[in-house]
Amino acid sequence: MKIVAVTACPTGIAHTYMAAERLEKEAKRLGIEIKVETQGAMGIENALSSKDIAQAEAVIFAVGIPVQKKERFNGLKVIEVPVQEAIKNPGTIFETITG
Amino acid sequence: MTRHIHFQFPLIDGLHLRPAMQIQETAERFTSSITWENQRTSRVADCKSSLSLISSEILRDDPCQITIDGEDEAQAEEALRRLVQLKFFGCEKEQADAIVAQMSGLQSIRLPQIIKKENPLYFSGVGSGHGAVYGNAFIFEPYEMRLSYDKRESIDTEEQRRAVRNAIDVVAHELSSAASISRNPTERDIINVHLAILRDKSYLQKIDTYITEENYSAPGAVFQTERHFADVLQNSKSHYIRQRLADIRDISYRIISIIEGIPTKNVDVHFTGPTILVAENLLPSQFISLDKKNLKGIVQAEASTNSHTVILARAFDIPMVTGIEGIHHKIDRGETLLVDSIRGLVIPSPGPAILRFYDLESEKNRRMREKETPFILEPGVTADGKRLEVAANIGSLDELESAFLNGAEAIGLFRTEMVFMNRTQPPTEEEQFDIYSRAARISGSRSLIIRTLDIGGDKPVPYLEIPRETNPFLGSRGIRVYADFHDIITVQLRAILRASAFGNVKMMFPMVSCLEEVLAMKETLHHLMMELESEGLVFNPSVPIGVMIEVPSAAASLNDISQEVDFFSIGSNDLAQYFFAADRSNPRVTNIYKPLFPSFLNLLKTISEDAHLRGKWVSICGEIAGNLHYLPLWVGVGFNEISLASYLIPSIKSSLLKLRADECNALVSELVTLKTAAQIQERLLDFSRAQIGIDLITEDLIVLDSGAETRDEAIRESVNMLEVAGRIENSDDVEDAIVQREAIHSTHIGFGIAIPHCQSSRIHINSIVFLRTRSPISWDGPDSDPVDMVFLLAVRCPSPDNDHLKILSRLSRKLMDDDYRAQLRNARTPGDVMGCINECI
Repeated sequence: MKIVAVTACPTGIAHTYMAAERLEKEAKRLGIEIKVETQGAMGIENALSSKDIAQAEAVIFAVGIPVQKKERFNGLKVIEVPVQEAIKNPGTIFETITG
Repeated sequence: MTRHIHFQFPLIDGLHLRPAMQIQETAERFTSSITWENQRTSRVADCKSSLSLISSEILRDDPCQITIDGEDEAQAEEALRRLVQLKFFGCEKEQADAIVAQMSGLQSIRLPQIIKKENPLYFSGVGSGHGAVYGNAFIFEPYEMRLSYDKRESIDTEEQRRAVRNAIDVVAHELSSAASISRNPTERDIINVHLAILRDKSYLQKIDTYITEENYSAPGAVFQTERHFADVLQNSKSHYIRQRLADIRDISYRIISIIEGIPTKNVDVHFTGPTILVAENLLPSQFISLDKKNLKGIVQAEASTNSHTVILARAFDIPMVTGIEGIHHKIDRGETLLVDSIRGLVIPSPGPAILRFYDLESEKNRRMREKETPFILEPGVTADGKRLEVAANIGSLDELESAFLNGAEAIGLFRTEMVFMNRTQPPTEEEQFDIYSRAARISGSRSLIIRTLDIGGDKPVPYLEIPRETNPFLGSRGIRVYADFHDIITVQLRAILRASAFGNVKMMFPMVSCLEEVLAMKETLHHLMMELESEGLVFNPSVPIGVMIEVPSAAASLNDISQEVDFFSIGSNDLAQYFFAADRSNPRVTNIYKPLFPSFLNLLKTISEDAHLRGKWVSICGEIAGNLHYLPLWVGVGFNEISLASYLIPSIKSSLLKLRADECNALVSELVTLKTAAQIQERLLDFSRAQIGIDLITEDLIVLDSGAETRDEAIRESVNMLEVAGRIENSDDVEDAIVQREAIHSTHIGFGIAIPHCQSSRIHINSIVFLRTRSPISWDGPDSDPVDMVFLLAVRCPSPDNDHLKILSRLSRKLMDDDYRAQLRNARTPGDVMGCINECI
């Protein structure tokens, strides 16, 4: 199973990366393949390619501000959560996808 | 077709959550895409997201553009325009308050977050002195003066005259002995002013007239004389002159109380503990007789920023807040009072949270002073020993003492306009001689540059009839008016020449544009010197003469002018304005008026080099001289002196010590080869950052046993550390930005960690503060997990620096790691924490 995710927060200097780290760690623990794009103060990093998105079964938006280039994910199952939710309870997010 | 709305953002507090929500609500009614660009920061926000709007850091007066694109763009534009026109978004109350505050002469007070939250009763006025003090109120009851004296049927004129003479002798004796035991120069100087009133001819004559011609008793005549001068001076438009009233009242009341046998030292109370004196109006002599051991602060109803009492309080380092109407009736004796003279704030019966806030403040101030004090009385010098004299600009005699207390090595510019303004007749030679010679005596061997009258069509003075000009800034001003007002200028030149016998006086002419003007002035001076000599008056025949370099043509004829004068002082504001042909008060041309243009920097460098080639001394005294960021330029250009507002001197001196002259020289040589102002700005910023260090964190930003008990205290303690380290401009602003960010979403991330942060233009250097609290604190209220580790992240805006952002993102990721957090929790020394953080670099 492959999942993609986008993290972003208002200031874009800390939460964005914490959420990315937590999602990656949790996915690894669950044996899920994940790629997380960060939209922070340094701009878009680890950008998701159209290939990444095409292969994914769902996309997680862990965000506090609007996602940039959101149209890329049209047609894909979206799980949108506040960015701090991804930091505090990443497990629950994956349960909604797998369960 | 896309539509745009352009405007300047009007809200004083910038774009905060409330207006942002309204914009969002409006924008959401339309399907068009609506974005908001802050053109200052080039940040673009989505109007349908209030968070995105807030994150774009829109400040008051930022140029903004709303862009609307979509099917219903016409309707959306109309709705948004209405919001913009409605000034703004139902937040006009805040503006109205600020305008009322401005009109009533009060500063609009922005309370620090911790105090705001406590919502205490407070009074605001104008503060003087630096610091916050705490004590019990002592309500000062002034002299019990009669409100009027009646004329008598008949009096023994000689007896009344004798009574006045005796009383004056007693007061003069008291004052002289007070002066002889005073160890404070400001105090001595003010006592001398009072002694001068006692000798003043018109004052004594007036008293005599009231006795002999109007049949007043001795105290009645003194009282009437005081009222007479009060009426005359009260109408003066000059705030400064009105303040002198208090001195006359003070002296008159003392004379009356001697005649009437009222004890004069009724303030001679012994304060038993830390005391805040609350008075309607405290006279200078009353201040002098106060027990200063326990006197911690003064609160006064009457507004006065320039009175001798305020100056005395400053000289004795006693914080004072003035201008709180009726305060002496609103405070009870013995009530505890907090006086914050930095913010002009008085808080009765402050609660524990406020007291803890001020504990943090005084710790901050103590540490700042500790950093600056060692330099105050040291000469201005760079790390590698290059001298740069740090002098003060002053506008009156009163500012002289505080300039020297702040460490001024000299007076680089004494503006004399105030001596001439707000009066109907020009000041006499004696009046001026008195002012200039006192300034010379107080300055002693320190250089005192007195600039002759700099006045013109833009600063009208009733007795100087300068015809209206269509363009006063290019018209008759400064030295150009001297030919028309020969008599007035001659009086001033004579007064300055005579004062030159009493100290290290230098004379400087404003607005010089050619050699001829200098030659004409020198000839006048030559005549005046002969005149003085024939009158037997003393002066310094070789008084140094200098000119202001404000007009580009003077800069271009520097070689010729150099042969006639001893020094130059660059008036950078006017020089830039004339050089760029751009009015500095016109916001439409501010992009042209920039001291950082390569052309202007080159001009400054040329002036300095040309002057030095001729062996002349050169200084810069304009506003930009006091800008800390430009300091490397002044060192590199090779000025002998910089002259600035005196409160800036300690920080300028301590920054100077961090610079190396050889590096500054190399910097300037490099900067003058650059092509644009932006390139210079960027290079200069890099240089300054390298001086202070570009590390995100240093050991002095790590506290392992913080006593903070609440979220707000932890934030305050952290931002205070940044201010002490010189990494931010001011704690209150950065605290506001952080608390605003916290209000959107708590930055408590779990694991006992909170990462309060913000991006702000008030941050000079990207920084991390690490705070470990002695006991866990509640971050989001009692139900949330407690926090014991706080990482405060402060990031510059705009142009944050990607390397630093990368480190912060790595640190953020690391904090998600159990072992990493354990390492931080177990760290024993700041060095251990540095080790952890260095893993992210």
